[in-house]
This record gives sequence, structure tokens and C-alpha cells, in this order.
Amino acid sequence: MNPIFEQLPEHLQDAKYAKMNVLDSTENRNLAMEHGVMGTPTIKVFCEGRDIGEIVGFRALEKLVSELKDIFASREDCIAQSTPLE
Amino acid sequence: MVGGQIALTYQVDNYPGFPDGITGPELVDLMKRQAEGFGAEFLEEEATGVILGSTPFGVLVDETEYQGRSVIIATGSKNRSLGLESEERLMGRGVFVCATCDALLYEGKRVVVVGGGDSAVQEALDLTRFAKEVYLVHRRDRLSACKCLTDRASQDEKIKFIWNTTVTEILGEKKVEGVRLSNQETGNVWTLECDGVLLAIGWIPNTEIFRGQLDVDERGYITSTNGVDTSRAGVYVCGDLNDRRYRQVVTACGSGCMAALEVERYLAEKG
Repeated sequence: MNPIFEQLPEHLQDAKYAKMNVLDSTENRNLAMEHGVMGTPTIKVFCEGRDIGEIVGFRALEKLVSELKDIFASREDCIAQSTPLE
Repeated sequence: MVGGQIALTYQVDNYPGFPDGITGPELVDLMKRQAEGFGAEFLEEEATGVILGSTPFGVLVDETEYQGRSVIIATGSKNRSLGLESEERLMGRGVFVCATCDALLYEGKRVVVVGGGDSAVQEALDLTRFAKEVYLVHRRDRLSACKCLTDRASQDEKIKFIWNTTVTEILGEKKVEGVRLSNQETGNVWTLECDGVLLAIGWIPNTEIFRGQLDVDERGYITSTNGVDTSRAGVYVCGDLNDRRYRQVVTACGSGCMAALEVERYLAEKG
């Protein structure tokens, strides 16, 4: 999935991206399991520390971008309800 | 994805030249670099159709057509599914097909493995490194896996066998919570709570786009008489598509080499 994942910032610029390999360390694996990740690849979307959506499995770039846009749309609510991180 | 099944394999220990083993993604990367060194270009796109009726042959990616005087087909195979709505909905949410990819997300959990062949038993054994309990559900009364794997699984305390039984439903809304099982002999239906369901019930060749243009057998594999040729001159097949028996990286590479040599010969003859 790397090549598609790496193209995301070009298409959706107003987000920050972090890639986490669950094979790398126990910490990574535990963090994934704590967030309910049960398969790879899983994309988790957070806003102000809140889990606002996820995409599980492989997608074509176009579909991935459109699904992420839908999740990002709910961000307005998230910002309204959250205290900004200092 | 370049590399297909190898790219999804964590560790490859039986490929010659790597005495200490190598991870699947690393091996793929090395092969890709080697091919690029000889001038190969990689397009990470999904072929949606082919035009093999006349030369130059065409491979379609949606509207775009790539043309070539010869074609090598190495589309491999995908996991067979149970055909349940719940299986598709919960894929990646407890339903999975690759123990080496996802086993470690099932640490301390109970997992049901469906199947009874080599891959089912191998995946069940891989899972025992992490899972608390592994139930192997098989529709027959004995495994069809090789003896070495069967022996190892029978001696593993974490693996329990459920014979003559099929999975009729995967339970859970957002994640897997259990499976409904049906015993083929007694008709008994019951529910087993679990966190994961690993499907290992065989393979389906990725040959949909070639149907009607090349001869395929009743199982969907492209018909080949000498190993890598097809019903059309200039079109060759290799990898898991023409090796249903061994399915190893080294055998796939071997048939890939055979296909490439046939292409060279074909192009030389055509002039």
C-alpha cells in the first residue's frame, strides 16, 4: 500500500500523516491493538486526539481520497467540541 | 502491489542464496531493483482487460492501453472466500487471510482457522505464537495437509480440531465476536465465541480478464501444455497460475524465467 499511501499528502494537504508498522515493535503493536486495529492495512483518522474514523483494507487512490474526505468532513464537529492542544 | 504473495510473507527461509532467510518485502525489493537494472519499468496499476486477438497485444488499465508484441501473465491467485456477507463486512475487523501479516494483532485472543490443507495448518501453527487458543474448523474428518505439518499441529496444545464442520455465519457488527458452526454429519448447529477468523480454504486463480481469450480449465487456470505456453502464441503464463502443487517463491521464479526465455525465442522467430 506504500505507494498509494505516500501519494495522499498531495491530494489531502490539510492533514498530518504518520505511518506505523506493527511488525516494528511491541509498542506499535500494542498501540494498534488498543485502538481496535485487527488487520493491515488500517488507516485511523484522529482530530484533536479523537478517533473520528477508519478505513480498513486496500483501496484505489481515488476511492481512498474520497472516503478520507468524507471522514474529514466530520472534522468541523470535532473542532467545535474540542479544546485545542497547546 | 509488486511481489504479490511474497510481499505479504514475513519471512522467507527457503529461497536459495539467503542462508539466514530474508523478509518477503526485502526479497521483493531486491528482485525489483534487479529487474529495473535491466531496464524493466513498473506500473503499479490494475489490469482491467486484455486484447489478445491480434498483435500487438494490448493490456488495458481502464481507458489506457499498453501494447506489447508478447505478454507474460503472472497474476497469481487470491484467497477463496466462504461467500458470506458477514465475511466481507468484517474483513480486516477480525476476518483475515494472512497469519504472517496479522497474527500479532491477535495476541492472547481466540482465533478460528477455517480449512484443512497445508496453508490452513501452517497458518494455525503461525498463530499459536500469539493467540491464546486456535480452533481449526474443517469440513472433513481429517486434514489434507502434509504429514510434517499435521504432526506438528496434533502435538500443539493450543490447537483444537473441529471436524466435519462448516462455518455458516461470522457473528459481530463492528468486529468479529464469534462463528456459527454446523456439523455436516449430525446437523448440529452451535456458536463458538472468538476474536478472529482466519480463512485458508484454498485459492482462486486471477484469470477473469483472460476468459474468452485464452483457454482455461474448469477451475479457472489457464491451460498450458508445456508449462508456460497458452492457447495463443506469444502469450505465456507463469508463477502460481501454472503451479498449483508447489507454490514456492523459487518455483514461481523458475517458471518466470521459462516464460521470459520463451518470449525471447518467440520474438527472435517472428523477427
